Amino acid sequence: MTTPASAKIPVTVLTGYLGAGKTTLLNRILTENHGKKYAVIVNEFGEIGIDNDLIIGADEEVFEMNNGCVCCTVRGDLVRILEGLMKRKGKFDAIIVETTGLADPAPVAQTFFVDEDVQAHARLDAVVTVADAKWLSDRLKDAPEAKNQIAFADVIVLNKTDLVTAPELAEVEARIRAINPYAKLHRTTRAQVKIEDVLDRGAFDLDRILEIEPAFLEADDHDHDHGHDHHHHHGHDHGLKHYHDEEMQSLSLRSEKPLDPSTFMPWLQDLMAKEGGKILRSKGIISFAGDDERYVFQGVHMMLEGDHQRPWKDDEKRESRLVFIGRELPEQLIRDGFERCIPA
Amino acid sequence: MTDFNPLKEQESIVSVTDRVVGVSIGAAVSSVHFLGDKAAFVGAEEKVTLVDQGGTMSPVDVAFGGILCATSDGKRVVMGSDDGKVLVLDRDSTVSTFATDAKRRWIDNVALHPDGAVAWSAGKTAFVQAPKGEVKSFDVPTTVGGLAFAPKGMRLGIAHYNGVTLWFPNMAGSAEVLEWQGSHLGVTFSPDNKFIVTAMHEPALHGWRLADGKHMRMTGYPARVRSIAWTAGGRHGSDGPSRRWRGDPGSCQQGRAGDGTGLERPWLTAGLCRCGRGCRIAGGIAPSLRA
Repeated sequence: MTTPASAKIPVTVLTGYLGAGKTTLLNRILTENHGKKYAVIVNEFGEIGIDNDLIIGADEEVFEMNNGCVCCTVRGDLVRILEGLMKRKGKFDAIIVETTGLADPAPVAQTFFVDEDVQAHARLDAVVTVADAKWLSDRLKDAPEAKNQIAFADVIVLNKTDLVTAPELAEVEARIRAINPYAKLHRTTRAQVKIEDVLDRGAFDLDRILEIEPAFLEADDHDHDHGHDHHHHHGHDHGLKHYHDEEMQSLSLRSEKPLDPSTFMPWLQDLMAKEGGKILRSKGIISFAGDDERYVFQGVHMMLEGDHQRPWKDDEKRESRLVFIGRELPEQLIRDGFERCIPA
Repeated sequence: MTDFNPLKEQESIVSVTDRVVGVSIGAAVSSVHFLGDKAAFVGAEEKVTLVDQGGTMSPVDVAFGGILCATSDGKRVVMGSDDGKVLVLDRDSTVSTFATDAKRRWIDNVALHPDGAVAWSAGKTAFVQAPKGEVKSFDVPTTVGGLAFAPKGMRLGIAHYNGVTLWFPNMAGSAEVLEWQGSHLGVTFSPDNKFIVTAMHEPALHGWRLADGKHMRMTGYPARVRSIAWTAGGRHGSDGPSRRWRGDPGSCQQGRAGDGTGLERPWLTAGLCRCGRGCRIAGGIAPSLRA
C-alpha cells in the first residue's frame, strides 16, 4: 500500500552550524503570510518565539540499524514523532525538522530511506543548510559537522553577507563550491530568503533530480574541464578563487555512450556497499544501451534508490551523468569502475 | 443441485457475522477496547467513540489534540495526549485528567497495573502512580519506546534504545537492564512472568528469560511488529500473517496449529497490522470476540 508522492507530507531538514541563523530562518518561515501551516520538530524549546501548537521537542537520538550496515544510522525519535504527527494529518501542510548545530544530516535523511512507516506517509523534501558568511571558512577548517552540513545540502542559505566584504564573500562561496558545487546557493542577510527557495524543493524526488538543478550540467562541465587541467598541467593549481578541499570532494562523471546495465548496476551497488561510508550523497541520470527510458538514482551513504523515470525525449541528449559528494573519495577507483561500464 | 437443507442442529449455529454491527466512526481509529459492555474506539485525535451492542454511537471529547497512546483494563481507558496529559475515560463516560506533564511534552506510552496503578512516559522519563500513592519517576538513557507492568508485583518494564529496564518503583535505586542493541518500541511480559518480549524497530522481536536473562530472537517478519499478545492457555492456533513463538530461549520456530510440544508453556502470537493508522474501523463488538 503506497501513497503517491504528492500525497505524502513534505519534510524539510533545516541544518547549519551554531549561530548561522537557523532559528532566524525558521521564525521567518513561520511568520510569513503564506497561508500554510507547518509542524516543526526542534531541539531546543523556547527559541522559537512563535505561537504554534505543532512544535515538538526532539532528542536527536540516533541508533544503528541491526542490518549489518555500519553507516545505517537512523533518527529513532524522528520515527516516533512523525508517527505521532500523522495522527494529526490534515492539521498541517508540511514538516520542518531543525537539527542542532552539531548534527550530522545523514541519520535524518536515512530515516526516510529505511523506515517503511515514515516512507509511507512522509517524503524528504530537501536538506537546507544555513551558513554564516563570516565564520564558515573557519568552521570548515575546525568543525567536521559544518563540512558535513555543506556537503549534504540541497539548498545553502549563505547568511550574514552584510558582515563580509565582496572578496571575502567570493572566497567563502568558492570554499562551499569546492565541497558541494550542486546545491542551490542563496546569499542573504538576516536569513531573508524566499520561502519557495527553501521549501517544497523536491530535491529527493527522482522525477525532479534534474529539473531543480539547472546548474547540474554547467557545474559538471566546469568540473570536467578542471579534471583535464589536472592531467595536462600541474596538479592543484586551480587559479585564485578555486579551492580544493582536501577532505570533502565532489566527483562528476559522464558518458555520451550508453552504459551496459549488466556491468553498471553491480558496479554501483558494489561501490555503495564498499565505499558508501565515504560517499555522503550520490545522484545520477543514466542512459542504458537498448533502453529508451532514462534511469535515475540517488543515494545517501549506502542507501540507494533508483528507477526508470521516463522515456528520453527526441530532442534530448542521451548521456549519462553521475555525481558523488563525499569524504576522501577514491576518485580513481570510481572513475576506473565507471569506465568499465561503458561498452567499448 | 439440490436445495440446501440444514439439519436441525445446524440451524442453531449462528454465524459470527450475524452479530457484527458495522459502525462508521468518521475519523481514524487508533485502537479499540471494551469498556464495560461498550466498545471504545479511540480516535487518532480528540475523541473516543463508545458504541453499544446495538450499534448506537456516543462520541466523547477527551483531548484537545492528538491521542498518542491508549490502554484499558476493561474498567477504564487510559490515554496519553500530545498536549502532555494522561487522560482517563471511565465506564460512565466521564473524562478526567490523571496527570499533566510539567513541560507539556508528548505522552508517548501508557500502561495499567492490575491494582490500578498507572504508568506513562514522556521523553526519557517513565512515571508511575499507584492509587493514593505519589508519582514516582525513573529516567532511562534514551526515549521510552514502550511500557508494561509485570503481571506480579509492582515492576515496570521500560523499553528504550539497546534494551529494556526493569524498575521496581517502590524500591529506591533498583533497576535491572536487559541489553540488546537496537531500538525497542513495544514491550510485554508473559502472563506467567517468566519472559519479557520487545518489538523492535526492524521487523523482529527480542525476548529475555527473566530468570537468567537469556536471549530469544525472532526475525523474519515482513513488516514491523505493531502489537503482541499472549494466548491464554497455550493451545491457540496461529492465523494469517501471525506466528507463534514458544517461550524457549534459543529456539525460534514458526508455530503450527496442532504442534503438540510445550502446550503447558505460554505461546506468543504476534499480529501484524501494516495499515497502522488510516484504517477507518478496527474490531467488532460481538461479545464472543472477547474470549
